[in-house]
Amino acid sequence: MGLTNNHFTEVILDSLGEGLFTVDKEFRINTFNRAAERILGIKKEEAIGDYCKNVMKSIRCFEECPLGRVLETGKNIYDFESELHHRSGRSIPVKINAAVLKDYDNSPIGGVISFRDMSYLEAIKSDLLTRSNFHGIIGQDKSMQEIYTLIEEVAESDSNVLIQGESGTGKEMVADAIQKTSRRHDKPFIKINCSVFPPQMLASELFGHVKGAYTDAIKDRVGRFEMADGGTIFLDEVAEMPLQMQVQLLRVLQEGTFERVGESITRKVNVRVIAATNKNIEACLKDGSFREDLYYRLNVIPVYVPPLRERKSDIPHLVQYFINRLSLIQGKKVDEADDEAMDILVGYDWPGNVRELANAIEYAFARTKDNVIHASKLPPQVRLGSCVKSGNNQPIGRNNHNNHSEEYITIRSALERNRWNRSMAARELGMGRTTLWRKMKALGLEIG
Amino acid sequence: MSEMLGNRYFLARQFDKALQYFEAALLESPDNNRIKKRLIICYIHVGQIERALSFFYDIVKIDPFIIINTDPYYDDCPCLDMIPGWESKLNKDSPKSDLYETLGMLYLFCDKDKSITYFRKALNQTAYKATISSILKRLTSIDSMQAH
Repeated sequence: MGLTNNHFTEVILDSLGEGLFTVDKEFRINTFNRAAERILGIKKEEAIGDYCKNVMKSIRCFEECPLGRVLETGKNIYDFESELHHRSGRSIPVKINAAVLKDYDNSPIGGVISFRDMSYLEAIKSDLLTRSNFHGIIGQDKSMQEIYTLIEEVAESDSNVLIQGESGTGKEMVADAIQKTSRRHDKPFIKINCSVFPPQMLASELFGHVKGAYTDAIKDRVGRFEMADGGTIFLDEVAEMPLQMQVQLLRVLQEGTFERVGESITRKVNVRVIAATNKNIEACLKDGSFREDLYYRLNVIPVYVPPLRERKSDIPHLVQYFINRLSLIQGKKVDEADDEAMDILVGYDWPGNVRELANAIEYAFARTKDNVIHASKLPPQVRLGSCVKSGNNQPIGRNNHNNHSEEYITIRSALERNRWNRSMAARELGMGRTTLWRKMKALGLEIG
Repeated sequence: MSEMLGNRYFLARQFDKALQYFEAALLESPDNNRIKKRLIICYIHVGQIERALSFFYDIVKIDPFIIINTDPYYDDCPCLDMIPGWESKLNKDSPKSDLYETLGMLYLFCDKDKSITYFRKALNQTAYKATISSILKRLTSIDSMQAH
């Protein structure tokens, strides 16, 4: 059985991803496609026959009606940035195309407006503004924002930096960011992990040696400080440095001078030092394993990178980042972790911090056969160690709504309408799931 | 083109702009009562009561129900929003006859009986006695026809 012309047109219009409606010359809606229903949250039956201004409910209908502009200028409109309103009252950034429909006599008989929901772009803009990815460091949490600000503030400085934080928190990435934003960004950047070399070797690594300085020294060797001259050196695990070496390091920091092992010639360098440690440095000072004078020389600009458990709002961003990265590298399409998996990931304390999270996602990614990571695919220690167990997605904070903000009520209502399914609620609210999660956390609408 | 632009500004309640386009549109289709109805509102809004009355009379002569059957929401008629403003002027001393004429016209879009009341009040003072009498005759005749 064939389709009638009208039905055929309707099928075509409903297949479009863009919202589309047409009006007659009195601006009464006479076509309203499925995407328009979805974007505006308005049923076709409600829209048809009503004036577009009553359906769109946008002040812009009065001030800058796109069809009015087409009528006045005689030129169709493309990608006109505007704003419509969802039935819930939420504003939707859109790009509008508009054209006037004319009869055979070239007289206007109405108009057609199509619009694209640009909310996702706004979300990206917002992410960029809140700097969720600062030189590769993922995090929107206030503590991370403060680090980004500090890094930018000290970009012009050559002062030494001491980065403290637990293992796996991303201290090296912070060091990278400091170097990239500094005046020395185009100069050598040399990294060394002080904990991996025995004392004698560490001195040779840092300051170099001359041939015959010790048994294996078969030729002269330039040390890392010389290599870094004019630039920056990153001393990871600096608190593992033997005391004798700390004295030599202190001298380089104070005077910029040192001697290669086995040589008496004093060499001078200009190196900025960024040091990092996962040890409790105050305890090291107390037990005498780290020199106080060196500490003060290094700790001119202190940076504390918080453990992941202290910035749990960043977990959804990190999870999505790792999934996207793995998808790209491995060419396997995995879109996201489902709500239950995300709850478990957020409920886990991550003693190994971001590194452990990255490994957990890689593990789950490898086990995932469809495009969503489910809770059952997470590593057992994460599933068992999380304070959220599988199947428990009851929200905390189901207290009354009294005195709550408009945003709280809007988000909560959307969640309730969607039975606390955050993916669906986020779609309805026109925001990303991680954004919704962050807002839920801020508003006390957490899953526990 | 002009009618649709007139409609665009009428919907946005920019009556002065709508007026220009409706006037142009009426030149193209002089019998378009829908344009005339909207022109009545526009002229009232800009204070050209005589022009409004002229179009109002034209329509009432043909068929008063063109105005009486107006649905304020469906026809996007702003009469209900405009009436309180005009009625508030009644409290001032010695209201002018054009105030009664204006309210008579506006009320016909939503309440015929009140429209008749105001036209009766206008009758004693108006400079357009013949027109108002004729309008009243036409409106009251509907009542008697409906009574029969």
